[in-house]
Amino acid sequence: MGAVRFARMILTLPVGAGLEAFTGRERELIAWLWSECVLKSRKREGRPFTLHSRYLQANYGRNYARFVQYLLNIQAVRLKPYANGHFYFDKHSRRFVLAACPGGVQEVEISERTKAAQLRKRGAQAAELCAAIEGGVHLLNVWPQLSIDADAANAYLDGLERRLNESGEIDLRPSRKGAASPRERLAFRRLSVSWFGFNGLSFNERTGRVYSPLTNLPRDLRPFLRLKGGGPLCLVDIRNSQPFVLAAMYAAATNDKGPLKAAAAGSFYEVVNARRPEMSRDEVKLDVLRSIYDSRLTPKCEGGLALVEAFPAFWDWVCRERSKAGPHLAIRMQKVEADWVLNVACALAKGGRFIASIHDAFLIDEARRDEVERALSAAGVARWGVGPSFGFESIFLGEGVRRAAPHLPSEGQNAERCLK
Amino acid sequence: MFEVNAHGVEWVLIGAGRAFVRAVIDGMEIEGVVSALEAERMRPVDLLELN
Repeated sequence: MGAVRFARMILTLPVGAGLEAFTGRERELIAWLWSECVLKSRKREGRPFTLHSRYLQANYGRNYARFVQYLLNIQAVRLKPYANGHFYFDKHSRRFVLAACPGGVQEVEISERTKAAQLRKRGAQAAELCAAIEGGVHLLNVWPQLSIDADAANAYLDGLERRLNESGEIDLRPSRKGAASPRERLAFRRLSVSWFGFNGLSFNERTGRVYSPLTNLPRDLRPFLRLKGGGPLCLVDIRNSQPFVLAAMYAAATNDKGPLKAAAAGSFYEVVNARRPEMSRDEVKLDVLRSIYDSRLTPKCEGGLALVEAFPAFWDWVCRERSKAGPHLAIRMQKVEADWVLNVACALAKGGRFIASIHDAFLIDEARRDEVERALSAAGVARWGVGPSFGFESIFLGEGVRRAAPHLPSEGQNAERCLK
Repeated sequence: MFEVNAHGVEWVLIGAGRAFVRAVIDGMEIEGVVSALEAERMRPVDLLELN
């Protein structure tokens, strides 16, 4: 019962004259379009938002113009002219603002069929994903199997907000150097939850990475994810993934396999850390990444200097590569990593078996852990002659979540099983 | 909808012209809050510097 209850998607539909002309499925699409307008308007803080006719046609079918006209007729949205007084830009874009919606709204439950179809074609970039990655269509097809239990996630966030209001404390790991305040991080989490059901996968050509609501989702909200069919979820991640890829590129160019061996054993950061034992592993990791992503020849941070001491020839190569024309080394590294990881993901998604990637990690059914690790290792061996080591995380409600929302399940138990 | 800028940094407006920026690098979630204009141009190294 739990899975069915939490998988339901209920949206609001503005009511007004002419609604009776639409079929049930068309009403679902109008509700979806209306929700998208509300979210776009919220994101733009009430300022006009743009809808492009090609985007509308791709997502709402050939009848999209009727849906937009209905929303205009009942004054749920208003057209906002451009500065030159025209309502169209480029013959395809129009600007809208939310209006009073005088007829009120009613709730509409979105059928599984509509939801799956909408999530498959979400975003014009879905087509780019299919074109860029062989088998990208498999990733798109399995994506709708993942949803978030918005009720439970919001209950958890309510708990955090209450605690923040009462004591000024929050059960979230503080962002380093306070780069985002607790309230800002809470606001971001609310958005992550409310957007989750509305977005699919998109592809970034520059980095080669696939982005999705899952890559947007902060770690502490992962326990609220639900897999259709209800299997326990887990996360398999590649340990030292970026040093591994970078060291593999280095080994291919120079035949020096020292850094690659350390990264493949999952101890790259530990080797660097040994040069600065007074620092924590996390501090060293941040400094190492900062040094690689930066363009300085001599790192300005202690962890970066430790990297130079631990692997001097590797660092020289990194500096030489960064000075070459074209995309920055970090972007090339991300592209190599994404190519490796996504090809494995696409192969594993064939046949409709769920898998989703968070750049260097996979969210999968726990039963498939060995299969995923074997496939990633084999792909690594085929490319570079060596496979990486892996980290594993079972998705369950941890200490912070239980303190904030004590009615939710206990540690060690998968949220899906407990909420049933 | 969340945006991904040309450098692969994800961002979303959270109010008052401020944007929440976020990137996942080697499993590490790095986040911060900057102006919307900065968010569009932000590189991962800038985000790492924020942290």
